[in-house]
Amino acid sequence: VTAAEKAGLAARDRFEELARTIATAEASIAGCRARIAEVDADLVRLRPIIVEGHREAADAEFDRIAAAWIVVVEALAPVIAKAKAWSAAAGAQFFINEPWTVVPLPGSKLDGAGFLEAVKVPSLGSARVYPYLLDATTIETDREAAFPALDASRELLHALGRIAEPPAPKPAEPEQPPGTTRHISAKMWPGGTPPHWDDPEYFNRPKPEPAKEAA
Amino acid sequence: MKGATVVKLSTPSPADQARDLLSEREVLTRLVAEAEEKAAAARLALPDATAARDAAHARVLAAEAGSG
Repeated sequence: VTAAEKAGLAARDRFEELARTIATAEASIAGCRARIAEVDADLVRLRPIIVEGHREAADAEFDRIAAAWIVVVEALAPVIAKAKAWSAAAGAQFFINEPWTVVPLPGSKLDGAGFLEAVKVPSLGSARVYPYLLDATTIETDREAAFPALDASRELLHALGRIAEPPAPKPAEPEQPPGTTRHISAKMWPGGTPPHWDDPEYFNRPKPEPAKEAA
Repeated sequence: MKGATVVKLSTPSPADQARDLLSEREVLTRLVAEAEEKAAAARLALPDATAARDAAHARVLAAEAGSG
């Protein structure tokens, strides 16, 4: 085998290796994309079931917290009295909306948690109940967002929200005749929607007369 | 059926199914990106490899013609 032949064989091998790499990669891409489409279809199917489950879990969690809360609020009455006294002594930094909303006033140096810490609120039942005492409106208006127990479920819903529904297949467009411009951006077109390239009404419209010069 | 073992299979919850699918999707997306990268690199090298192959082939033909 001559040196030229050896070089030829090496060059051919290299070319074939590259071609194989491309073919293998393309097959892999096609396979993965096909499976992604199946996965997405499954996720879209599961989404409403999970949303419903999340809502039920949120309701259950709310009931659980509310039950614990009633106990806590009853136990809290003396604490609130103490807190009021403390707040008055500290220059009324807090407005206490009985029985459970603690709202830091503008300019207050403490947030709600700091306030409870400052008045040394004793153990208020479970740690999970504790932050909800800060702001009753949180539970009323956004009960799901307030529940750490639902974090995992919420994250899942967010992840599912990023999976788009598979797009509907586009209807086939007729072939574009030569010499026509097809891609006209709607943004560039005055009035919004550009005419379709085969819209005879637009393209066969009479040409406007040249503007008359001002006398 | 003495000694038979009954295995009770539990169906994963929709949330667990969705989590598994999302993980699978993540892996697939990464595989697509890797394959695209590989294909792009190979495509980039392909013209040079084609030219080298053709040139080598031409040299072999020329050598054969010269020796014949």
